[in-house]
Amino acid sequence: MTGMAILEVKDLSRHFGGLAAVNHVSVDVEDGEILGLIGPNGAGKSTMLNLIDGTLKVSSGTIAFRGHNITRYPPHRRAHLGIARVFQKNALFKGMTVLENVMAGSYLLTRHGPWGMIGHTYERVRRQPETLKHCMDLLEFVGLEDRTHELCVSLPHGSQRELCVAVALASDPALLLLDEPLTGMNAEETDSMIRIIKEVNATRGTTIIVVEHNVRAVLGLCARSVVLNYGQKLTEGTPRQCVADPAVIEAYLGTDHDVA
Amino acid sequence: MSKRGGIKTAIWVAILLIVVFMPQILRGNAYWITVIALLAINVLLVSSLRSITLINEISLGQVGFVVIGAYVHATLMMKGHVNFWASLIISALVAAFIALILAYPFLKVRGIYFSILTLLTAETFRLVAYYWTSMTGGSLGLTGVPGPGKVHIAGALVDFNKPGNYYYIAIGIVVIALLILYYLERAYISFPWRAIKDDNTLAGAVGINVIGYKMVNFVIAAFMAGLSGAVFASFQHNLSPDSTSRFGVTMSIYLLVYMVVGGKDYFVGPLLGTAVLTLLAEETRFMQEYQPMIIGAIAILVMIFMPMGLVGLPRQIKSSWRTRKLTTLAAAEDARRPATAAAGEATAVGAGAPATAPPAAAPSEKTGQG
Ligand SMILES: Nc1ncnc2c1ncn2[C@@H]1O[C@H](COP(=O)(O)OP(=O)(O)OP(=O)(O)O)[C@@H](O)[C@H]1O
Ligand SMILES: [Mg+2]
Repeated sequence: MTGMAILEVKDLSRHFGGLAAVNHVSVDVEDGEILGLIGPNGAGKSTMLNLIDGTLKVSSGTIAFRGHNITRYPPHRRAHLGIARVFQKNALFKGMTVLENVMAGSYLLTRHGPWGMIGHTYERVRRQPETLKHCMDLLEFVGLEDRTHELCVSLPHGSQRELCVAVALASDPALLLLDEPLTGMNAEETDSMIRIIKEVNATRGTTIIVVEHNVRAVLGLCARSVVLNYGQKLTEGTPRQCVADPAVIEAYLGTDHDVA
Repeated sequence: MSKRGGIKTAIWVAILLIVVFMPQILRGNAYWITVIALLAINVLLVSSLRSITLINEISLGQVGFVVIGAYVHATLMMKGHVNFWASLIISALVAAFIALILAYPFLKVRGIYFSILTLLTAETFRLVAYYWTSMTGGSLGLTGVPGPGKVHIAGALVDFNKPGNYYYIAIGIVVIALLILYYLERAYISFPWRAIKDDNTLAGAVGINVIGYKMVNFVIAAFMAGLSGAVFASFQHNLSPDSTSRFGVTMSIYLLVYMVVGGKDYFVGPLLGTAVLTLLAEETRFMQEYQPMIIGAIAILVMIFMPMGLVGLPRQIKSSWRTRKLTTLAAAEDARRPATAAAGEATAVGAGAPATAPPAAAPSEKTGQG
């Protein structure tokens, strides 16, 4: 509780018709931490990330990032401020190669003014040594340096997931939102992804919010976690405290009433 | 690679030469010169439609910007006596400006909703031209739209109002406009367009101003459509806002068919599609009433059997040939196998199994625990 908050979410709500997918949630995220966001299916975790990165508009409440009130910012402006996102489903630029995906991810570093966007050819920007190096370093970091010129859709699921992370990291974000990065991965891929997440946090100082069902991974990764249930914040604390909390156990396993 | 590039260049030079000397080849045959000039104008229009597909949207409203370009140009020249070239540019800019106003709400929606909005807008513009009689001549049409008039060139007085001479102006403008579109597709701006085409949401998440880039694309396309309308107005000399005219909904559908038949993934798709279908329509003029049916049938056949269009045909044939070769190879392999097999089979399985099985089994174990 000592660090400075990089992200302050206050009283955030989002309704879909009558359903409150996120219901008056307040969370402070400290600069440099890895925060776990956990909860049963449909708890509102993805919705929460969508509100933070601007993919969805909030119904009420405010979001502040590094002192800016970004509640009404469109997604690209939040990206400019340093928020990056990995979606729950593998979201990649399907028509592009692995390398091109990372280049698109580094758009914010390679973009030009209006005249530059028209004055430079794509070919030229693509061949700029700094850009290439930046992208290749990232691909090496996630272990995809041998597959740079393959179409991204031809990669197996686990590698696509790693590519998603590389794309998100390509803009050098200050806050990384990871939506279930380990889903569908085998043991080896899981370990490698956990290593990647830890290293990003340790060496780049990137603050990370990670939504994950794999409890062991959450215990290993996060110093602090927030539990959501039916859109509301159930509890908050170290992951160990959270999973031991009777309310959390009830939310995951259901009460006798629910089972019957 | 460079050999193929050489062949490509040769083809382009040949096409350009044929187009430039078309009036000589046709010996001044006014009818065919008209057909070719209109064809060129349509190629620009279809290319403007295709340029919107770069952001993964289908516009059914390019004709609406043609209406604006044509009538603004006609009005400027007839009532304002503005210089032909200035009027041409202003008309295209007006079309682009109107597109800019519409772009934000239009591009906030996607897919079929965008298409419907553009279609209705185009029809609205046509109806404005139809009912604003004092300005546009209404249903009677507007006659006497001038061309650039007589110009001194190398001592001779050339009348550019004549189709045979105006032909060069039309072709020249179309070629320049196409070169601009071609360049834009290679400029860096095409990269965010591609990203948006592949995944809107992810494009926004990596910092691309999705709506902004889409608006730029839409406005450029409207400029080109408006330009084609202005060039058309001075060529045809009269404009009619009839629903059966080139400003009607049918035309929008035709443009779409031209693009798809040519191949929407290729820059030359609009050129080939428009050329083939226009010339086909000319050849089947004697059964004009069946033409929509013929065009429709062709469109359906192309969509089913040549999803990449005419330009994509060589590649399609090559890839289907390759898969056939692979399947025959596989079949031959299968046929060979029982005879030679036991040893080979065993090693193949022996090598394959340990490598593939554990990773395949692991995820289910993992999710079972987690
Ligand atoms: N676009 C939407 N329209 C309507 N309802 C939605 C929408 N997105 C999410 N919901 C609903 O909001 C609730 C929360 O969904 P959300 O995707 O945030 O859950 P989650 O915690 O990410 O679950 P999971 O672990 O399954 O990914 C669910 O009941 C879901 O059906
Ligand atoms: Mg989710």
